[in-house]
Amino acid sequence: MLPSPHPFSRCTVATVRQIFHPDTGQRLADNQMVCHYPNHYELTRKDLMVKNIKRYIRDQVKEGNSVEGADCLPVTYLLPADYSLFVEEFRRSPNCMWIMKPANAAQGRGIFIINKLAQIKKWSSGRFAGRDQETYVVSRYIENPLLIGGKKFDLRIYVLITSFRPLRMYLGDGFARFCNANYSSDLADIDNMYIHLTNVSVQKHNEDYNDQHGGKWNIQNLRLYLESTRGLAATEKMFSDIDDLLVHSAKSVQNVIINDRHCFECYGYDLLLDDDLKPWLVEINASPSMNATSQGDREMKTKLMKDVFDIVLPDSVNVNDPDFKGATSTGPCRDTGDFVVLYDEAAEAERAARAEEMKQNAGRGRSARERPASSKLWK
Amino acid sequence: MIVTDDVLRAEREETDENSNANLYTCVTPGLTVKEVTFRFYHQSKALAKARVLAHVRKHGGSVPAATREIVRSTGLEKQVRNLVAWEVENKPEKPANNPGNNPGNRARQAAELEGDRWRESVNEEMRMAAREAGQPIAQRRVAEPNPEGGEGRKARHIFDAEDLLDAVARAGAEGNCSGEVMGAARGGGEKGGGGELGMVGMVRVRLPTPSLTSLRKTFAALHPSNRQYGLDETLVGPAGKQFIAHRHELGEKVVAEAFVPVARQYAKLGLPPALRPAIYRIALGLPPTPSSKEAAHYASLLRSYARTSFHPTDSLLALDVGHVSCDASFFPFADALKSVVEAFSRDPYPLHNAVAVAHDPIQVLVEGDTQATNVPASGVHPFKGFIRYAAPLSLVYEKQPDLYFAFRALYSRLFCRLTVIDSTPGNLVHLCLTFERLLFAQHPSLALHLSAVGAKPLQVAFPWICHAFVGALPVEEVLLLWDRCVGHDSLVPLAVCAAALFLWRSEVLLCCKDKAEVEGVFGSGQLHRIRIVPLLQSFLFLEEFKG
Repeated sequence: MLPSPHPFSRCTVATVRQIFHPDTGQRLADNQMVCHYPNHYELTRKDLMVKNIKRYIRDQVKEGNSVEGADCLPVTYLLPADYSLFVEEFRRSPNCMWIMKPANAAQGRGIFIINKLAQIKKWSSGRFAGRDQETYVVSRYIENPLLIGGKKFDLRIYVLITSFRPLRMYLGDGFARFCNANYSSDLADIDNMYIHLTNVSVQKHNEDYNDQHGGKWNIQNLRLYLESTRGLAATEKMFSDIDDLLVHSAKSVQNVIINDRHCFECYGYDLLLDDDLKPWLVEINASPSMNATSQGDREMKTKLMKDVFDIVLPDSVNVNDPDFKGATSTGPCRDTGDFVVLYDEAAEAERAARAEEMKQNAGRGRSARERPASSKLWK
Repeated sequence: MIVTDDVLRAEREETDENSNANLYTCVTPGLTVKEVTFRFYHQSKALAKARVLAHVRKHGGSVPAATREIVRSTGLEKQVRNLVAWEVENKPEKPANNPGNNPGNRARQAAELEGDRWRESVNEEMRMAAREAGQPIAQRRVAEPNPEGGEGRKARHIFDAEDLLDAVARAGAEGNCSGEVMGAARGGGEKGGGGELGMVGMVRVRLPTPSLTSLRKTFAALHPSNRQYGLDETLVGPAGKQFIAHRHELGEKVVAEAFVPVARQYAKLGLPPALRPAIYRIALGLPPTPSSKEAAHYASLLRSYARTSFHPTDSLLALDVGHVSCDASFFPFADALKSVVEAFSRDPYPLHNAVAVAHDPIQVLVEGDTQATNVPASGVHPFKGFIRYAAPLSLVYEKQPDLYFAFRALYSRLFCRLTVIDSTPGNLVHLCLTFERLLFAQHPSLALHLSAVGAKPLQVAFPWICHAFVGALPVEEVLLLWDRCVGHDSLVPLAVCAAALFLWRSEVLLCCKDKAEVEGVFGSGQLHRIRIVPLLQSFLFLEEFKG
């Protein structure tokens, strides 16, 4: 007898809100799941992401918690809201480049780089205030990206989150996306998007674009290259910083996201590495492209989807069981396929409690249990 | 050759405080190399003597003791040790020339004959290609070479792996096919078959090859009882971390020691990526840290490339570079690899120093020169896949000169053997025969089945062996395999790896019905999760553990 197929509600980033809208009168059944969170835009809109992370860092610092690794955003302002603050900062360091991005667009649309205030007159207050102006974010442009073969690249990393409270995060595969033109921070090249923007949707129009690999490079190769050229310690630190960045970014919206138990989401994180091997968060995508640009790409994305389904609906769990309450009913997070557990808040809390208990027994000669290492990235 | 001012300047920059700047007072630009060498020699002798006597005056003791102390403290001792070790090990092995008309000797002669014929045909292909393109073989550069060739005609490679395989299979075809035959085939003289492995093998030259038992002894370092890179560093938890830390600690000492045999011994257990750049350099006879002299030499090679263009050499190189730009693992380094192979083609070092000389350069008189130039200077005519020998190193070395010198040394010491057809043990023909015999000995029915369906094992494995597994395995695994080759100073691990892959997939292969299916078993993506070290271990040592 075949088991009944698990029904998935097909939803996109646009339609997910309708599914959860109180006025529709429909509610998801207990055995239905949705692959987006209703207010994912708290993470995936550039302006809201910046607001949430800045607020999170402030709160953590106030509470005296460590924010190492959370400082992953370049200096950013929202336009037109923070225009005057931006002008102040701009005037303080006049020789810098800044990158302008629409708050809610994708695929590199509408992005341009500036080095003069005159180039963004439209967003200054006054005549245009009150007009329906698209919100932009302006960030300090990272002018010293890590270059490989003379070309700029960024990292696309897949992160699966099956619950925000408690936080359950899985780290998936990733790849580097290369530009086709050699990098240059000359002002003359400021408008050449083939040098600066790594989006495949931009690069594929370049005549040097090669569809055999689509400019995508395996992250294992990146790790090998970095270990050979920068040493083991620096490479391990970089990957550990990436781990921290991912966890902090999720924690920043932990209390804001509607943590519906029917939801899970596989985010596409875009990170940029600078020449000192510091990772910077560029943006987070709720709907990362599942189109394949090459054979290797197809295999990777197919495996990715299989692993996501294996995590969200493990064979050991029966969603028709009345006790099934979503991700938290599947037990502690487990490495599955190519995904490793990045952060399991419930398990961490339990471990911390036990360590505390052991510490209290330490006076009687018993030692605290060693905390197992967290992620073992891309080995 | 006249010594110019900038060469002298480069030499002077190289000297550290241990050398004496007075050395250079005896030479001026404009002298020939011979004169400079002569003057350096006598000047150095005089300066060394003065130094030793000064040491004796200052610290007392005898002249021999002072000499020993100076040699040790200036690092000269290490350099001399390395030089001696390198020279001793670097003597190319020439098989004993037994006079007499015995089968072994006939085999060798047949192989050599084919090798000569192959070299001639490669040269002929080059000249023909130049004629077709309508351009002289060497001329002052006018414009960038373009792979389209002369009149918009697409340049094609002068030979590729298939052609090389044909030449290997042809070697020894006449006069030496009798002898023991394994399997169902009758004696030699069969069309399309022949060779001592009957219909299964393609190599007809009878050479002694190592048996599995002797391989177990030679590659004892791969035994599972030894913790090594390729396996033990992936262990989760403290065991893996301890192993990594220990290997790094040991490796740093090896690098500090900078002694060729020690570096090789260390490489036998696989290299941590962070230490691979230095260990490869030492094991291949280079000083552990790159110098500005190397960078200057590399720059001069690139300048020489820019000055004179060789046809069709340059367009063939460009064609090969085009392939690497399409490769998913190496495309970021296409520019660097392009410069490296271009510089290589203008470098006479491989012609004079490679352990095996692949091709004969064509002698050409360039306009404006008095002497004929070798085209290419390296003596290696470009063929499809040549750039693969350099490609994995682009993930090891960040700077182009470092990449270049490591590649040049690796080629001259090891990979040149993959381009020649002769009877020397350890070279291509011998490796192919080793592979065939190993496979047949371990799994004769598989070998028979494969040739019956039209996919002889060597046909499938040849591109792996002759390209040193680049493109067939993930880069990390290729480098781990190369670590063993560098450590043992031998390419036999390539043959063993090929046989191991067949054995590992034997069940699936036995179900294949035609050549396409066999190729599909090893096709793209099938091997991208494989771990080479456990594979080699199970091939070599599994029987020990079977009950």
